[in-house]
Formats: sequence, C-alpha cells, structure tokens
Amino acid sequence: MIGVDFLIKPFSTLNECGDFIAKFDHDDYIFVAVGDVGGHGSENVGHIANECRELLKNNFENELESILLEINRLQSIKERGLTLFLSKIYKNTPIVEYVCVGNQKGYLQRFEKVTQLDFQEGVVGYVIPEHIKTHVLKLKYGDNIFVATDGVSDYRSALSAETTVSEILSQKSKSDDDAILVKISFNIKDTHFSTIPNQFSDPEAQDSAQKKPSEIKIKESHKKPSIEIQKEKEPFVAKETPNKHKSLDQKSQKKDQASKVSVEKPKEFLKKDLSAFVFYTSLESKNCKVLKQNLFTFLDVLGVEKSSHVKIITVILEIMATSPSPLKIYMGENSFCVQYESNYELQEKVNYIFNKKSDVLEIEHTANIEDKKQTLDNLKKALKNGATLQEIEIENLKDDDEKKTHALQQSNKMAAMGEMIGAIAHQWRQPLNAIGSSIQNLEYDYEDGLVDKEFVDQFIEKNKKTVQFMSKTIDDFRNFFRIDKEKRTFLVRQMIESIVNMQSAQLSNHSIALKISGEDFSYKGLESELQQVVLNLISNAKDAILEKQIQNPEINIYLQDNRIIVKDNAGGIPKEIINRVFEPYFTTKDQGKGTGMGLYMSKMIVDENLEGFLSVDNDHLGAVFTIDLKSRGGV
Amino acid sequence: MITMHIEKKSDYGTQLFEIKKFIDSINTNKVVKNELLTLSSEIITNIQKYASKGEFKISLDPSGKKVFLHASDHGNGVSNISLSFKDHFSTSGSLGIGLPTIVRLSDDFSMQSSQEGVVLHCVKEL
Repeated sequence: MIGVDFLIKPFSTLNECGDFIAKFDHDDYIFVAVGDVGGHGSENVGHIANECRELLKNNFENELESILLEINRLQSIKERGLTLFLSKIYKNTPIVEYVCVGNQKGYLQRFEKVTQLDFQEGVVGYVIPEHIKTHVLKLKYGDNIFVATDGVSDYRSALSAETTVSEILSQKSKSDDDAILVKISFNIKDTHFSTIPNQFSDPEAQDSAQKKPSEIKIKESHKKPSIEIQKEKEPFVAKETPNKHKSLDQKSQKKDQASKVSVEKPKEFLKKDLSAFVFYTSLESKNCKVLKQNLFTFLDVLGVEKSSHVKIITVILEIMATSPSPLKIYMGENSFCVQYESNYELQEKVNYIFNKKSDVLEIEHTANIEDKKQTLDNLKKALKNGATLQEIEIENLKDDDEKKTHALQQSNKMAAMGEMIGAIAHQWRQPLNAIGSSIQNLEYDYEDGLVDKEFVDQFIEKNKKTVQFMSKTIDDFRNFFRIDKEKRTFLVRQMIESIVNMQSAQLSNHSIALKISGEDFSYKGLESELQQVVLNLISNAKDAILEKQIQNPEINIYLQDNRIIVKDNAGGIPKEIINRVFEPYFTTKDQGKGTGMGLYMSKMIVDENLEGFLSVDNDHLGAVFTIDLKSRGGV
Repeated sequence: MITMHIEKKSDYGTQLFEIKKFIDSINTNKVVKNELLTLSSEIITNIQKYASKGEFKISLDPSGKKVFLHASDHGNGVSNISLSFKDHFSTSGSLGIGLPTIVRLSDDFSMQSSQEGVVLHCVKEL
C-alpha cells in the first residue's frame, strides 16, 4: 500500500495559497507533485497554483522531465516563479522516480536513517538547470518520503516513521509563509515484487491484490489543522512578496522551443522514384523466421550499425504485423527509408524507439549500393517471395549449372534442417538412453529367468510409450516452428505419465521413487508447454534431492481440483529465498550449471500462456510446487 | 576494486571473466555471487547497448559486508523511465528484464538520468 498524507497551512486562506499538492493514481504508479508558487496571500497566487495543478492533471502520465518543461512554459509562472518536486511511486517495481528543482526539502526516512533527496538549484519559470536530472531510488517496506516547501523550517531532526505531518507542521511551519508537508509511506512488502508476473505468493499481499493492486490511503487532513493554526496567527494583511528572481533566463526560452515536438513530413525524394529498389511485402503467409533472416542479411549488406539491427527489425516486423497496408523500403544513396501507413498505436511505438513522429523511418547506411546491386536484387526477390537468400541465389544459378544448383539446394535444405535436428537430438537423448538400457538389461533379465509373458508385455508397453514420445517430440518440434499454436483438450494425468516414463530411467538410476496419484482431468491448452513446466519441476526436484543426498528420495505428483502438485522430500527451499525462486536469473546452483531461467520460464508459461497460477511452498518434507489450472483455463 | 571502461566494441566476455574472478574472491555464498555476476553483466550490457561508452566499478566495502557497483555513461539518459522499469518491456527486442532485474537484485539502488548520461549505484549486502 502506498499512503499519501499531507497538510497545507496557508498564510491566509486556501484559495490564496501558492503551495500546492497534486496527486493522481495510475495503474503503474502514484503521481505526487509538490509546488510552491512565489508569493502568498493573494488570489492571483492561488489561481496560478490551480493552473499548475490543472496542467499536471492533464500531463502526469508523461516523463517527469517533460512535465517540468511544460510547466516552465506557463506564462503565469514566468511572472512569479515556482519550486517544484515531481514524483512517481511505482506499484510493481519498488522504486520512486523524482525530479526536484528549487529548495523543496525532501527526505527519505528508513528506520533511523534519514537521507536528503537530491535537488537542483533553480526556479521554474525563471532559471532552470540546463540538464534536468531524473532520480530513481529503490524503496523498501516501511520507507517514508517527506517533502516540504520552504514554509517549513529545517525539520530533518523531527523525522521518524511515526512522525505525522501535523506534528511537524505545528512545530516547524513559519508564520510568514504558506507551508505544505507531504508524507508518502511505502508499505508494499518485498514479496509483492519478487515474483513475476504480478501475482503474489504471499497470501497477505494476494488478498490486498484482489481488492486493488495498491489502494491509496489519503487523509484529507488539511482542513481542520490548518484552521487551528490560522487562529493563532496575526490578522492577515494582503501583501505581495517580491518575485524571487527578476531576470528572465534565455536558456529556458530556448528550451521551450527545442522541446516542441516536430512532426516530420515524408522526405521529398520518396515521392520521386529515384529509389533503386522497392520492396513490397506483407507478413501474411510469410515465414517469419526466413523474413527475419533476410532482414538481418539486408542490414548487414548495407553496413548498418550492428547494434541497431534488432531494433530496426523489431519495428519492421511490428509494422508488418499491425499496419493495414504493405510496407515499402526505398533505397537511397546514403540511407534507406521504410515507409508505412501508420496508426496511432504504431506511431507511438516507433516514436518511442526511434524518437521520430513520422510515417517514414530513415536509416543511414554505409554501403555503395551499386556494388551490392546483385545481392540487394536477390534480397528483394527473397523478401517478396518469402524465400531464403540462398534459395534465390540457387534459382539464379539454375540456368548456368543444373548440377551445381542441385548440390547447393541440398546443402541449404540440410542447413535449415540441421537446426531442428539439433533440437530434436537433444530431446531424444533421454528416451534413447531409456530404450538402450532396457535392451541391454534384456539379456540379464533373460538369464535371471525374469522373462515371462508379463515381462514381455511390460517391456513392449514401456518401450512403445517411449517410442511414441519420441515420435511426438518430432510433432512438437514441427508445431514449434509453426507460429500459431493451437490449444486443444488433453488428459493431464496421461500427459504427466508420458513425461514420467521418459524420466523413469534417470530417476531409477538415482533410486528416486516417483508416484502419481489423484483423478485425471481434462484441460484445454497448450500441452507441450505444460509438459515443459512439469518436466522442469521434476528435474528441479531431482537436482535438489541429489544435491542434498537425501535417503529414500521420492517425488510425488498429486492431481486434485484441476491442480498439479509436485512435492519432493529434499527438505524444502530456505525461507529467505522462497519468494525469489521465480525471479529471472535467480539460481542456487553453481555458476554455469543453472541459468536461473527455468522456474522463471515455467512461471511465465503457466501464468501467461496457460492462464493459470504457479506457486511454491514448503511442507514438512520438502518443496511443494502447485500448478493451479483451475482459475481460468479449466474445462 | 575493479574499474572498467566500457565501449561498444569492448570484449564483454573477457570483462565478465575479470569480474567473476573478483567476485569469486569475495567471502560469500554462491547465490549472492551469482547475483553479483548477473548484476554486473546486466549493467555492462545496458551501457553497451544504450550508451556505448561508460565506466563500471565494483568494489568491496572495507567491512567486507557490502559490495558496491557503480556505473556511469555518457549516453542520452534513460528515455522512458516508467516503461524501462516495467517488467517485459524492451526497446531492443530482448526479454525486457534488465532494469527491473537490477533493482530487484540490489539491496540499495539509485540512478540519476539526464541528457548528459546515467549514473547508477547499487549496493549488495553480503
């Protein structure tokens, strides 16, 4: 929970007060601004404060720096000057982001420690720093941020977690100025942030999450105390305080002009057809992988800076996926242009990534396009036909040398398959070992007189399943290369049994017993992904058992109420890290052994793709992982 | 203490190896060591990707209880802070877990971004 508590003590009345607070709630953060307009005790001052608040209301979703520059442009501010603190306190990452120009005194109070927040010298409207600094600070549960305007005397020594705004204001506010004090309490537990995505394994956090991710608690406390304090004051005499700074700063005026967003018009030369090549292509029915490969080659041939390749390709694919009309790439001598019909959403993305508002994206290149004409021509064909560059080159060679073509085509095919085979080989190693060892054991079993009708039946059944699994692996991989994955209904216990069969040889090598119990249930979803998760959980349990050298090791899988529960007896996950196991890169395995991505990917698959919920807990024997498919995906 | 100059073309692998040697010499458990290495790698990658030139420092507090990571670059600052600290957002087509991961793995984290570049401090308690 993020609490925002504040108190205003006006010099005269609230509508003549130049100190103001603005607070707005966003899905991702709470925006809090504290401002102090120069002067006090005049309706004009109160009016300017309102004008600032109004502007903040309309712009609080922008970057803090640009909000500050926007306020700096207000004409009324130029008359009086303003000191300003702008902040966003995030709900899903434990951070506060802030900018502060002027003598707003801000402190972060954490237990006994009080740290002053950074600020930049200046007065908004008059002189602002040339480079506005945006600060980001990690927050912890129980942290408090205090921000006060200069109507509050030095209050640092008065700060503690229990200090209330009214206590400080009654002691420290000056009698000859407006004063405002804000206390932002950050009471979101670390556990809220440690799992990804934003689901909570902490029951307390989960409860509050169901209500609302982070409710804002506001105490509208400014009315009552402010009246009390006012009573003690001398009768008010309307008096305009002199402006804080007289000189109008040239720089800030320049800044005003520079920060206006200019909308670029398409380059003139695009209208003429001086382009050497025009690619005209759309994403439909094209193999995305081949397309990506061609685009990489394209950028490579043109000598476009390597670091921007992914960025450019991401945008091009995005355009192709969302833009209603085809995309065109025009070649120029020193640059090429990507022209597309934009919609608002697309333009926002492109604007964000390339910092340009335009239907044309111009990208510089260093190649001599005359020299590269042949390759670019081939690429153009490749892009158009959704073929690989090699295929196009082979096609070109066809007329010259039939035999050569054939050989090249073969090698090209082999290369494309190589990648897939590599992956299948990896998946096949386990079942092949299982078949291998069961064949090897056959001889001994025969010698031991174990081979009877029942044995043969079991032997056939077990190996048939393994072979079926291998055959399914190929299908899975073929599906994997397809972009659209289809959800279908399958029996969960059957699916788990097939995995266990595959793992059985490895588990029995280490004398690990694996039991499945509970009623089978059907589920509609992506079977191969759920398989991947269960496989990962079993293999994690196995690793934990081996690491701790557990006697009588066992893994139990229970099915109940559309849940898959995987338990082991390896002693459980230490309390201090249990909430972190789903974080990316988190691993307790030795460097090089664990990537720290296994459970993170599992969590992503279950929570995002399967629309379920993966959670972890300990029981008296060991770790308990629960895949809850009930909530949304069950049938 | 290790200080490194990061450039677009600097050898990430060798640098990380140097850092790993330093981290291995610290008296702490392997989880923290892994996290320190991940933190360093994320920070260096971020500089290379977005600023191309900068400096990275890693040092052990004399008390032996904390590790400080400090980085600064001369890029144009973080362009959209709200989005950059959001999980799964990336401008480069990667997984988008860079900055949120840095925050998560650090015990203390502060960053200052302006058009002159980014200065970043992380503290990891041992």
